[in-house]
Amino acid sequence: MPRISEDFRQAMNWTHTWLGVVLGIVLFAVFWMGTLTVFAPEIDRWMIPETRIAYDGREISYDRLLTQLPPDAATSDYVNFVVPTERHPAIGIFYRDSEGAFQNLLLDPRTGAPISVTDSHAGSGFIYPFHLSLTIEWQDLGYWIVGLAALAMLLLLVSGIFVHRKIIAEFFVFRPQRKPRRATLDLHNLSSLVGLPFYALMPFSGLLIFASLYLPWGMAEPFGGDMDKAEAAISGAYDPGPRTGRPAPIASLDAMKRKAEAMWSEVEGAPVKTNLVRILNNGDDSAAVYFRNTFPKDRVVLSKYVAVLDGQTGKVIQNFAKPPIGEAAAWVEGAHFVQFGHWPLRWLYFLGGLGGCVMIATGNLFWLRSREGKLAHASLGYRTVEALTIGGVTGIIAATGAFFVANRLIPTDAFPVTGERADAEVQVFWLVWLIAFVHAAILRERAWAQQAWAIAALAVAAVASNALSTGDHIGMTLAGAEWAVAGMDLLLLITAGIAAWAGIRLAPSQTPARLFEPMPAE
Amino acid sequence: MAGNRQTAGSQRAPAGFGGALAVWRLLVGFVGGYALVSGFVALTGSALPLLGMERGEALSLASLFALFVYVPTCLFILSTRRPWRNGTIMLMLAAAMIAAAVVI
Amino acid sequence: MSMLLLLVAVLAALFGCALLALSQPRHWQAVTHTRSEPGRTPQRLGVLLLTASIVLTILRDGASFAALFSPVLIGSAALVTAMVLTWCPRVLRPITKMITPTN
Repeated sequence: MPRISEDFRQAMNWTHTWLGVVLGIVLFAVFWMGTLTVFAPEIDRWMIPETRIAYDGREISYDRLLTQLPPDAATSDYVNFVVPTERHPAIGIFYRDSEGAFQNLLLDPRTGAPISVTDSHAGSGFIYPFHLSLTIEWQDLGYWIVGLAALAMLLLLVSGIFVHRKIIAEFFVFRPQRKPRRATLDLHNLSSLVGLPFYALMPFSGLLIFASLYLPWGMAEPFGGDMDKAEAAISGAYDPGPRTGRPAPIASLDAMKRKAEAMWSEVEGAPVKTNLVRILNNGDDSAAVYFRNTFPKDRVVLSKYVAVLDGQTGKVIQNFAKPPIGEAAAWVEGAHFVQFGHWPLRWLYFLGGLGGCVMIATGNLFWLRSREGKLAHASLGYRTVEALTIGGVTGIIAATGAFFVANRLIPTDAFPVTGERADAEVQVFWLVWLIAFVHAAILRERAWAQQAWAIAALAVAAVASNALSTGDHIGMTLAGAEWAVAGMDLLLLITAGIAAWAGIRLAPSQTPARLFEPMPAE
Repeated sequence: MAGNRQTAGSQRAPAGFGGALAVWRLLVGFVGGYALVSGFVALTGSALPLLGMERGEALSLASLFALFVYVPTCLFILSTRRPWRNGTIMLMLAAAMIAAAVVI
Repeated sequence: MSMLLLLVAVLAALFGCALLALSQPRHWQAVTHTRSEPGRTPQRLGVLLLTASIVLTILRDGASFAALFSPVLIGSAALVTAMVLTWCPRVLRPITKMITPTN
């Protein structure tokens, strides 16, 4: 550890404590939802059972799909097919309809017909956006809160290193048998150190992904204030301009797709596939077809290649490949999205996310423990942090469990006219979370055990309700190699086990001195 | 962490972190730092093309380095023994970078 | 082949972290139940094994993936080591027996 002055260490300690206490629970929420987002497609399969389709890698004909789309799509200025993959077996299609609203459909790869899906936001529509922005859309406020938390995370990591006195000697130290304050700090230090590179990379890459949102002036200024031009230069975006009004049929999408992929594969020296087939200004003679390899399976770099072909002739209008520095930035972003096909790494990301949750929770717990048994214990500040910590840790986990259970219990055909079924599930999440905060504020320390038991009960209920409502119970999904659903059910059961163990260990009958506070995360 | 009396429930802020100073440090660190980083990205993105780099590449490079400017700046302002002086210097530096970026 | 490389990389990370932990007197003494010093060997061996683990991940997946995989792999190995030291340190006794500390 470099020799630093005591003044500097105190300053780092002050910074670390304040940032941690003020933003800790926001950070926990972002990390928790981020951890789940690693498996967002699998959560989608679980919550939208109609998409539990076996992926057979068959060749899709986008020409044929185009003919089967609703009539609105024929003259839409934006029609986007998402190429199916093993984790997203249904074909996604979203297009802008005649009223300017976006329509979202999933197509069965075997027939091309739309699948009548359970109306649910699920992983990709709620958990992932929550991770990005806490789903607070007003004036992008949620993005700014998450961005501030990300910046704070980087400051917390660096300041934490300076606060820690004997990093090398105490790297592997964990003493659960000692007093709760000592044990909590040990666990905080340990969880922070073992995952440090990961915890640094995540906020860094996350902020980089949204650089143009967070630095609107700075990023656009080199391009004369035109952010669209800046983004086009970095990522090869294409604007076809307004429709000319002269109708024209579109040439073969499949031929264009093959051409684009062949072009890219030649440059790369290895097969490159597109992730989307996007038609701009469909049905017009200004139509263009846009291809991009957004999420390659075999590399970390995102969206390196973009090809735009003329809609009528199939001629190449734009052939874009990210230049070296742009590619480096895309590597950093790809390291955040983790959409590539490396399963051991994906699981370690999941564990890393959980480690981050442990780090943040034990940080807040240590703050509380340091002030226990003193006058501060009754103060409003302490009680606020206490309620926020309990509600923000076990509370959000319980709310997530309630979200899953609500998904299985709310009838599929509920709210048919208003289409609010998906929103109802989300409202259950917010309601249970609110109740958790109130519960924590009233019961204080006793709330930990009760919320742990709630998590256990909800996790078991989720598995049971999946089995009852879809018939895909664990025995069946394991035997049928439906890994997404089996994996979700297994993780839910493991969660229930850990939560129950935590509930027992946290029972009020334990004397505080012997109490080791395990983290009731998955 | 033997001897870290700071975390033993002491509520008193260390010297140089009371009231107004704390607010100054936080504002200058976070808000002033934001201005500095915006200026840095704009200036780098505008100046490097003058040396022959592609404009999109210059912008990518600037965005990659942005946090390496923001984080140390924040930590510096939050820990410096001369917050008023250094904070003011930093704000002037931010203004200068923004002005230079607009001019180029 | 890639399964084998993965397995060896994991083992190298685990043993590498165990050795680095044992290079700290407190852990060496807790595992051996003696007051002896660990010497330089555990540290050197630990660094060697961790380097090997990194190289193996590069060989398996290329530098682009290894840059992500290796740190989280070693971090997990460090966590396992800490848990072993906390709850069953005697598991590491055979390692200490294999190393004679240089005086």
